Amino acid sequence: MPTYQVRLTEPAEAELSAAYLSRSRFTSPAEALRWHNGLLAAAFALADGPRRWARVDAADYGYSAQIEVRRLLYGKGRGAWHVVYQVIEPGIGAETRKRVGPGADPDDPDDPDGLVRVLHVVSAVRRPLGDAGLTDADPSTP
Amino acid sequence: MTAITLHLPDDLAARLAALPDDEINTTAALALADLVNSNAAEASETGDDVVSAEEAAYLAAGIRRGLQAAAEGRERPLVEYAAEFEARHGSSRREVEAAAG
Repeated sequence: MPTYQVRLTEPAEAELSAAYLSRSRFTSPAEALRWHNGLLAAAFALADGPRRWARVDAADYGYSAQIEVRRLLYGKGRGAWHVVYQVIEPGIGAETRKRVGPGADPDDPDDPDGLVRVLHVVSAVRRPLGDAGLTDADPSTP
Repeated sequence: MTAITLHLPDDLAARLAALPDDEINTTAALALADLVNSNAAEASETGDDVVSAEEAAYLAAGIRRGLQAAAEGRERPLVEYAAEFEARHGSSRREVEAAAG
C-alpha cells in the first residue's frame, strides 16, 4: 500500500497555531494540548490512507479539477474542525512535482511516496449562533 | 446515517442572541446550535453540503492560500512542525500517538 508524506503549508500552520492558542485561552492549556495532539494525529494518519475522506468539489470552490482536494473532519458538533488537504499520487513525475510544488524530492522521479499537503485548517462551525456564550468557534474564522 | 439539511434565516442568530436569558430559552438556543453544527459536520462526512456562498468563498480562499504557499515552497513536513511544537509546548510524539488511539 502506498504511503504519503504529510506536509503542512505555512497558512495551515498559522491557522493551527492560532486555534491552539485560542483554545488555550478559552478552555485550558491541557485541553488545548489534547485537542491539538488529536488533530495532529488525525493528520499524521492521512499518510496511510488520504482517500478515506470526501473530496471537495473543485467546481464549488473555483480551483482546477486536476487538483485533488479533500477534507478530514476532526471532532464533533460545535467542536468539529476541517483539515483541508491536497493529495498527490505516488510515482508522479519530477516535472509535475516541480509544477505542483516542492514535494518530497522533485529531483527523484523514482520517489515512491506520494504527498498529502495540508492547505487549510478551519472550524467546521461555519455559522456560529449567538455570541461566545453559545459557541466555541475559533475567532480566526470570519 | 441520514444528514438533515437545516436552513436558517440570516437573522435567526441575532434573534436567538436577543432572547431573554432564562433557562428555557438558553437551553433551546443551545440545543438548536448543537443541531445545526452537528448537521454541518455530518453533512461534510456524507459529502452533502449546507454551506452558504459566503462560507464556500471562505473555504475557497483558504484552499487558494494553501496552494499558493505550496507553489512558493512555504511548507514543511508535518513531523518537523510536530517536533518544533513539542520543543515549545512540551507535548511528546508519544502523546500524539496516544491521542490517535
